[in-house]
Amino acid sequence: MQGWSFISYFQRPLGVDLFCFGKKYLVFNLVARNLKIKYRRSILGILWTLVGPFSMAMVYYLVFNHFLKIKIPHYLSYILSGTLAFSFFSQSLSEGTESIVGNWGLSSKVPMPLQVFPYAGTLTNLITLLLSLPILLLAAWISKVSLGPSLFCLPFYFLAFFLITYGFSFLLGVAFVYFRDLRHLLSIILQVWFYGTPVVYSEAMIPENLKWIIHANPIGDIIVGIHQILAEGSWPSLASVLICGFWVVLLTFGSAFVHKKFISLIVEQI
Amino acid sequence: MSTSLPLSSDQVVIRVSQVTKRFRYWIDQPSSIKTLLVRLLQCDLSFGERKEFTALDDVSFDIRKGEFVGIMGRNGAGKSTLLKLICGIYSPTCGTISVKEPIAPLIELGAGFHPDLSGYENIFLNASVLGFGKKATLSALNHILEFAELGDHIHMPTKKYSSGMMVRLGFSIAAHLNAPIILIDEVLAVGDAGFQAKCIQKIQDLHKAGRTIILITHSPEAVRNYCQRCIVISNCRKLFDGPASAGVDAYLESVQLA
Repeated sequence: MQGWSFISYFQRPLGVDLFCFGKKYLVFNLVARNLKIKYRRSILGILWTLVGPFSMAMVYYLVFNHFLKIKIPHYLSYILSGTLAFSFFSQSLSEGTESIVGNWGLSSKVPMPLQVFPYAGTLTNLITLLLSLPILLLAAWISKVSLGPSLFCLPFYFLAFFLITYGFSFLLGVAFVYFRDLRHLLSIILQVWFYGTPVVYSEAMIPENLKWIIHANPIGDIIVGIHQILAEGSWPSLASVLICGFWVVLLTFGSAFVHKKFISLIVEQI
Repeated sequence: MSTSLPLSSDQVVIRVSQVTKRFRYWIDQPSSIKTLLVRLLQCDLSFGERKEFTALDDVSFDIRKGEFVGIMGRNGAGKSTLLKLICGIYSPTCGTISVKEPIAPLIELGAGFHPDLSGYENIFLNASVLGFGKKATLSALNHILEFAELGDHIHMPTKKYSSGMMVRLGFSIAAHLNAPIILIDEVLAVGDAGFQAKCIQKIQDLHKAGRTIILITHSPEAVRNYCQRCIVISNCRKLFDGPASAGVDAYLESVQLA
């Protein structure tokens, strides 16, 4: 029973309904709204949003594999899984930043939990990421990765990735209420973040004395793990799983703490 | 306090006790990271000057189940703040508010309507924004569609709706979702006379069916004709609480004094 009570504590960290369990139908409708608006009136429908990261991945593939001759096996699968995962992250963060302020028209008229907006936004992007999974498996097959039983770790990695991304989206959404120039700053930060994360290069290429950068990067070990699962077919190391867990706990409880401190002030501040 | 009113029930559904709401705001608060950094460089760690203003001051009243209460007051008197407190959008600075039953707030029509979605799709979004589940929405769906009288326009994106059409749909959703307490803020002025009459009829029907209704309005006729009780808010305080017609007189007097 101890284990279950731990899970239920995590569902409502610090007593905050961070994951909107009390508003499931609202979350469902907001996600449906996001999907409908994004993909209405386009032939490719939901796949349209994958075109951007997909073409970027192809450019990276050309530049890093053929021009710079990077030596990473199964590079097609490697670059594609990394780029799609990172674009889930960056897309969610930039949308999450504006989500609380952008839905002010709603939240000032009807009582609603403000975290529902970054939550629904991140969920929407997660759905797109999951829809790209067949493409990733196809790429792994084309570049002859021998996918192994470590594939069963993938759902846990996606869950951890989702929780970390949602934490950042929420925190940025709150910060944006106070600092309106965050939007411009974020695009620069994300650019740096992209090159600070082993998406186009591999962990092994980093000099030994700079390896800490990966672990200090909240999504560093996640991306390394996704690469290991989808582009190498190997198992992630226990240490990296624990570091992922650390970041999940830190962001979840950090968000819950910020929620407790600021959320009632925000409605009046916007 | 001891005014005897014809009440349908003694059960208190909303209790507002000694509620004060003060808003804090900062003058010259750094609103961007850039100014924050510049200030840090200048070793100026102040977050600007803090100011406060009182929007509501020591307001108390009870609303019982099945009452039809009108709330009046001049612009800026604190009516909207009071409403948002009752709905739970704001939390009071001092005092407590307890609300025993779910509220369907109609503070602004079409809150939660997305302009790119059709009226039909917006019904589901709006209902869930108001806090209702799938079952409640589906069971009210036919009544909502029928009452709104939008015909085939229901499948058009709401950005093409006129304000009158928005009112029809918004009111229809809030009125048919079986909420025990209905809160209406000055929204019915938009529709045409025919639809207004229909809405007022509907509100009266809901009241007869035992719902609690709170109507915020500037119209003395509406309060005289439909409300049992009237609360007048003036200068952030409760000026009057009692029978509707006396309340309207108090309101008109307070407007003239200003």
